[in-house]
Amino acid sequence: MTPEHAVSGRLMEFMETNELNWDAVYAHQAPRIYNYFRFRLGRESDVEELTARTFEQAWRSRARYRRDLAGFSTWLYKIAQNVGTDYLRARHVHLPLDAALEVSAEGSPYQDAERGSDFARLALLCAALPERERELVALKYGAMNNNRLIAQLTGLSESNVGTILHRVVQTLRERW
Amino acid sequence: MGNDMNDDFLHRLRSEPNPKFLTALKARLDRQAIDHGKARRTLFRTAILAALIGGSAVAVAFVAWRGVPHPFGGIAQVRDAQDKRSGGGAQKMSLAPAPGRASTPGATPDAMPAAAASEGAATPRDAGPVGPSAPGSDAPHSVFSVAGVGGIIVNAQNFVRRPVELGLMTKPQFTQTTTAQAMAMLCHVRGSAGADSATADVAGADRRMMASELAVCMRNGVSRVTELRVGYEVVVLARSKLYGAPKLSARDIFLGLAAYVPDPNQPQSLIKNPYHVWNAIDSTLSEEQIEIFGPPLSSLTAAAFRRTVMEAGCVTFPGIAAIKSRDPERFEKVCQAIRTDGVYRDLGYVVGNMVEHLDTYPNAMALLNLREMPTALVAASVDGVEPTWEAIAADSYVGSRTLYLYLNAQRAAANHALSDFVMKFERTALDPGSDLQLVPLAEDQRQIEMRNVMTLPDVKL
Repeated sequence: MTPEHAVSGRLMEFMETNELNWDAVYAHQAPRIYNYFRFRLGRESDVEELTARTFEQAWRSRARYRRDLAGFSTWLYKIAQNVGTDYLRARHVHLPLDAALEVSAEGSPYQDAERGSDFARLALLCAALPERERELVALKYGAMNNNRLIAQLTGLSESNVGTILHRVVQTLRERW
Repeated sequence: MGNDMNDDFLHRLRSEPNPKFLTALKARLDRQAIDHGKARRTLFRTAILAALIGGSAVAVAFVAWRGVPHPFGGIAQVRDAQDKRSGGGAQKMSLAPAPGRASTPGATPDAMPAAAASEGAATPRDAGPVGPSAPGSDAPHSVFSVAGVGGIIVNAQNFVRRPVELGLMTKPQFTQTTTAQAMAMLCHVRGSAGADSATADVAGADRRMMASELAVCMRNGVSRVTELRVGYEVVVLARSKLYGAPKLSARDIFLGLAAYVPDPNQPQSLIKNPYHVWNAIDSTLSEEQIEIFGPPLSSLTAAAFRRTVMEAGCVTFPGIAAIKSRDPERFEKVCQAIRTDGVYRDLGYVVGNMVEHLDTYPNAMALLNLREMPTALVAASVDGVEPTWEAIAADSYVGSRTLYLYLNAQRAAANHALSDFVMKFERTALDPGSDLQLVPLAEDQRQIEMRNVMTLPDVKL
């Protein structure tokens, strides 16, 4: 019997009952992961593909997720970070200026155009930021995570995350 | 990171994914989960089912041989209970007849000589639903009634379930009601008090009896009332230990969860709750979305929460506090109405997985009874006080309330089943290891209450 097969009844029960909750997890986290990639890449294209890839990977390996080692959000965003990093490495995408002009599909045409335009402007500004700061902005404003979780994901201290974000936001505002 | 950072322009840039994409992806994930899980689960389910059947068979055999422990005294022999139900065999129950009481089958057990006569002068007991057992009934199986708040009634119902199922006692009549109505039933108030024609032998209360209520009891012939403290009902807002204990005030919690809150610009007017992030309520709080998971709003925990924490936060607004005595109904509506716009999310059906939910949602908290709080969670401090045992015993934690039993001591003297129930329920409630959803009293207080339940002294207010 392989270790995978040696699942106890208790764990089985956990997995089964947990299946009920994955719906809620998905409903809550999918928009956050989606926006994480939007902010991370600075454009709309490929965002759906990366979101799907993240969830498929998480769903495949959710039996191996150990909550004694990490909170679920930490685990999910680690997967998203890895998916994003692999993607950027493969594509060598660093300055997505053209794609940043794409327009979001939500809201009225005027709102979409305005938001798309603003988003393109943000992409331009973020492109000038160091990698780590772009990641923090994506985790904070795309994924709507709190500083505590971002600290766990990035290995920075919580106060350091707050300080860096504060500085980055000031910079972005000045250039906005 | 507060609003002083002025990062609204970044928040506005978020965009909702295309719903079609979300639906298609979810369907793909569901299919993937089914494919992966099917083969493995079939094997394990078979094994688990076999183990359960085997285990159950062993457990049944063991219980049938050894008997079942139950709260009504040591081991109740199932065979004895079966014999008793079929009319044969010696009775070995703990519900032994009281000294001096008729134990002959067929005798009326609840004959209340002097006590009943004096009570009957005010309100005849036999007119109510808790009159004597029918002639010919089993002597120790007397009936009695308990009215009170949910925290008492639900715990008491759970407590008697097993002995009732085993035929060791007749199911008492339980009525879940407010403290005021329970007191009215205990004191045989009829009609306008809301108690109608029903009376109660025991009232479960979430506050002490008032002197005026005791006076009504005396006037109606219920001349001996005993007060027993049962324990504390304690509610907490808890978060995953991964994210640390929140520090909130009762006012913050009220503003975060109330359906209607005072308009910041016109505090005399109420508006639909506009708050969705904590630091909109208080700039010193974190900029996190307000998300509370909890049991259904009709649950005991939610009811206790509304009555304790919500009310405590509500009365910090002088305009609302002023209506408490003037218009109690309106006060209750304003202070206890919890918002239904999704900020409070009813997850009653997955309480067992609350921890996983909270691990998943870092900013979320769960509303729980303290006795149900898993060790993986940490409770929020409210008004700077953590729900420690010391704080609860000192009555300084706002989410706690003491529960009381008020007993018609005359009835208890005449009805052995009633006195037996009260003694054993109280003893169980005072036991720190009991399954009741109550925090037990301090050791010295427990001793006092144990003495009281044995001697049934008259209440002193």
